[in-house]
Amino acid sequence: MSLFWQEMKKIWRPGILTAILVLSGMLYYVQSFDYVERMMNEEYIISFSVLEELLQLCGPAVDRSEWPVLQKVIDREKKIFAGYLAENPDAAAAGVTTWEELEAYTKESGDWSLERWASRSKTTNWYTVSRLEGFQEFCKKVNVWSGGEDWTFEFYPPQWQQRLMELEARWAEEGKPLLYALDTDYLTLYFGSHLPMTNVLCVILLLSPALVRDRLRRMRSLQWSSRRGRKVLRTQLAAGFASAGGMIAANTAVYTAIMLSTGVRRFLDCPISGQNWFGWTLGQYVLCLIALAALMGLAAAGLTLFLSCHTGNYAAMLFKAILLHLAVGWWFTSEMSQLSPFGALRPWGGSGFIFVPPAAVYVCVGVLLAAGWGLCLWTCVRQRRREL
Amino acid sequence: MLSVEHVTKKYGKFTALEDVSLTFTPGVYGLLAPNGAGKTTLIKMLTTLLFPTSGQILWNGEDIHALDEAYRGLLGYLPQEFGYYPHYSPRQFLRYAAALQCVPRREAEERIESLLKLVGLEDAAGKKMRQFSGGMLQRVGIAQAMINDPQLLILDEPTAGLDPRERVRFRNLIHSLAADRTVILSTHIVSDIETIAGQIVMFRDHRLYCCDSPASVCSRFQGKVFEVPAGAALEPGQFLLSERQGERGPILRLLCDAPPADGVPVSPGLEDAFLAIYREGAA
Amino acid sequence: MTLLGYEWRKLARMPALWAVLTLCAIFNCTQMLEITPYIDLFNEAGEAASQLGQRVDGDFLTGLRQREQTSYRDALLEAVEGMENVFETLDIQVLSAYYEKYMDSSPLAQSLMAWKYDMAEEQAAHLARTGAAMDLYAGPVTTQVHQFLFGNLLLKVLMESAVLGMLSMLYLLGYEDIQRTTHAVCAARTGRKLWRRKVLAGAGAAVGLYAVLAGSALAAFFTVWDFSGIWSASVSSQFNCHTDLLIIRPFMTWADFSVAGYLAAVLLLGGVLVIVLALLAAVAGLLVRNVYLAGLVLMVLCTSGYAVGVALAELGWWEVFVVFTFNPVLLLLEVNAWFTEVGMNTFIPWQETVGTVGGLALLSGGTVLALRRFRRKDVLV
Repeated sequence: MSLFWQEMKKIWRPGILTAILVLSGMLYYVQSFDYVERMMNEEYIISFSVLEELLQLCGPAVDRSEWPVLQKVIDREKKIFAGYLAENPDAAAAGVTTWEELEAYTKESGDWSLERWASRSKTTNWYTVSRLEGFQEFCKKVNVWSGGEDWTFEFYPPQWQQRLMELEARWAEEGKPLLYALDTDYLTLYFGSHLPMTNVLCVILLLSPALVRDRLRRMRSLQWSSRRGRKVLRTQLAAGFASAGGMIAANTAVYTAIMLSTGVRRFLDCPISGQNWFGWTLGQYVLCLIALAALMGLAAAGLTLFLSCHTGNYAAMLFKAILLHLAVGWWFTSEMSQLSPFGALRPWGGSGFIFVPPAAVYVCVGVLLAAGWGLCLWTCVRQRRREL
Repeated sequence: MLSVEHVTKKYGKFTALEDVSLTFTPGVYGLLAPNGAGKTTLIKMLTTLLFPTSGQILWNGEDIHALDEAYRGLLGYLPQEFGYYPHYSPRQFLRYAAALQCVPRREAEERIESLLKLVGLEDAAGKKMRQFSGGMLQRVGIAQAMINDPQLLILDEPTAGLDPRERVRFRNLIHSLAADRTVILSTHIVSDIETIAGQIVMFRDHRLYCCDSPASVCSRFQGKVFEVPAGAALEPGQFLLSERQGERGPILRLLCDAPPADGVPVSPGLEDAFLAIYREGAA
Repeated sequence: MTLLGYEWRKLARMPALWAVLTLCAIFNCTQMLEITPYIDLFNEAGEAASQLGQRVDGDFLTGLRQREQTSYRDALLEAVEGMENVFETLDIQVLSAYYEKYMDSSPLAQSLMAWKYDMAEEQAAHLARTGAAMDLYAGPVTTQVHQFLFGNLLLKVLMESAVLGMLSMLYLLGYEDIQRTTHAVCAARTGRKLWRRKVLAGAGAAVGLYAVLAGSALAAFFTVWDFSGIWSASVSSQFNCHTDLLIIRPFMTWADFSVAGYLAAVLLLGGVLVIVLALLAAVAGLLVRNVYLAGLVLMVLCTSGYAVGVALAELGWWEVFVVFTFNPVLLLLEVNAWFTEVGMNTFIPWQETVGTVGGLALLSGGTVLALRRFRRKDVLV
């Protein structure tokens, strides 16, 4: 146990931690400030209180019988919006007093300044009205897939086409999920892309020098001739993975804490919209994304430790670390975030699409994890007969 | 008891050591040979860093690789190029060494304090090793080699780069440690082992040349070493061993079967034997 | 071999460098798949320009109508019929007013922005006189192709070259420590002055890597995309635009640039910028003796070169933002609009040039100081 903590101490160096803190902080700020600002300032997204009101009135799904309730809320919000318009002299000059007039004005004149004002300003409920109208339109659309109204439907394999139609039938019976109004794309980006990218970056920066140092400082003869012998590597790898786990936990805690501090936490028990084959709630969906992000971080840990073991100097390791981050932290995580745990249509063959089933993202992450850990295992096995 | 049985080490077509057989019992053994003779190769095999191409190394009759950590747990090793973490203090470094040797923490702390005292570093125990001189680093190296109270202590070129005072100190230390353990000292500095080694192991042409006491090694050249004043040309059959400064000028030390003119016979030392054995063209 | 040659040899013997270089070159080539949808219309425009010249006038339109009828020719004809000299009616002050309103908390930023756009207005008048807007360039796909070449491909080449150059510099500066030859080298006749050679070698290597990456990327690009009819076109063609803060504006350069001239200018300035970043690595490597920590410091500096800018703009600290826009990282990121008014991230004409040259001077001075400090430092390890 003592050697394990010694190795952990070697990994968690103050200079490296400071740099990681600063880098990940900057990365977070640049990537996520938009998300946080939107999620924290409800004026940039549908008002959480309006959504909660609808949740209480209609439940997590809105069926046909509840459309009048929805319309009532929309009308009320439009009236509030009209009040904001009345306070804007530019709107008055353009003769725009209602939501509909604003839409018509923008379309006819091509002047987007009022729209920009409404959507940028923190004093209008433009986003609330916009998302509610979008949701209303979504509710009114029936037989989108079974009626052939979605041109991408043909790209789904037959068994998934069947599932889409079953989903549509369920919606027809139970109503459309209210969370369609909440833009979960940001959440997916936040947890599905930004978090794994940060996990991978932090893990790579933390673990890159771990095993290079011993080779550089010519410690291996001392380590291999000790009682632990070549098995020292196992302890070092264990410390590396534990450190990666700690780093991932810290990142996840920060991201989750910030998310939970926004209004989104009120809706974690609601089923999400979209191709929700598994009937997941928002909370379950977020947990799934967090798990995938953690696994990607652990996969990066395995690959970093493997490279670190076979590199003799810091500069070469930096080359490899940057390459690893670009491949895993940037390309792989962005590809995975687009695959989605529910499957996704991906561009294919010029103008077509190919359906990537839900399992794909888990398989891809699993393969990367197996590769990283497998290489470490192979190094341990090979270590037994290595000579110094 | 450590026994080396018909051990050969080859790297491709190059043979580093051929058919070496030795037995080590408690006491001090000096591995004496020129650079590149195979000392470090043998040491690395004894410390499991290298694997013999053929033959085996046994500890109390059991193969050291089969014994695995049980063998390494009784081994203390100071490598030729002693690696360390510059930002560690000796105390921190010894704690790390203790963890590598699976020494329980409480016991390790006691041993660390006594070892720091033994090697004379108790005052510098908290200073970063990047500030240490070569001698101080070597003392840390010896201390880490002793952290697990080894039965077998292997020191590879431990006095390289040390000043005379440090070397004397080191010899005294080894003397005190050798009482009840096997100490194998690898060096090409003859004076270091002349006084402390009970047995000298010498290699030539990648084979074992001899394993004998210093006196026996020297006695092979008894009556064959002479001193003559410098200036006289060397005759056939005479080989120059070394030169020293006498009272009346330089004096040459020669190896020859027949006494040279003006030659004064002297008792051969270990250095004379070393130079004689490893002279060019020696059979 | 000179000492400089020995330093390059040390670098050349690092396998990781060649592996990364090769992967970058391959990656850059694969990027071209992104704009393959535009190639047919591009080829149509290029062939038309080769045959009829770049200037869209009556003769051009007549000639174009006489070309073989295809959907692409029709699309091109539709795009060029009714073309007007947009610079004659362009109201630059709209842009100026927009940015000034954005920066209303800082009179300094506002006045600089106003001054910049006054200069831009003069340039717009000049371009109106020369009729640059009436050049075809690549027709309706001009913006896509131009932005891909400069805003995607060359941006990636610059970033890769900068990263590889910086790491190469760190490697060379830390090489003797890795090999434990610092004592022997510092005690030799050349001594610590070797590190001067190392800095020169690192800067040279950065330029060399840039040349390899740019050369391979452009060779692949121009093999597929035939620019033979397009080199002489003005980059300020009305089909070429760029966007800043969601506002699309014409590609209005401070001087008259043909496509060939613009490419040459961007490549040249890019090379100087790569040297600037390599010198930044030199300063970091000389001051922070641990190579890995120096690498982390560089990462922090480069990331903050962008992130701090974003933060300053968000916070509205425009005075500081003005100074900050001269940092090399921010300049590099604006490569898609170099030598134009760029937008929010520049406050003076030719800011990328002034910033790069200024950065070169500043970091050269910094390197000299760092080398002087190094010459007086004890060699401990």
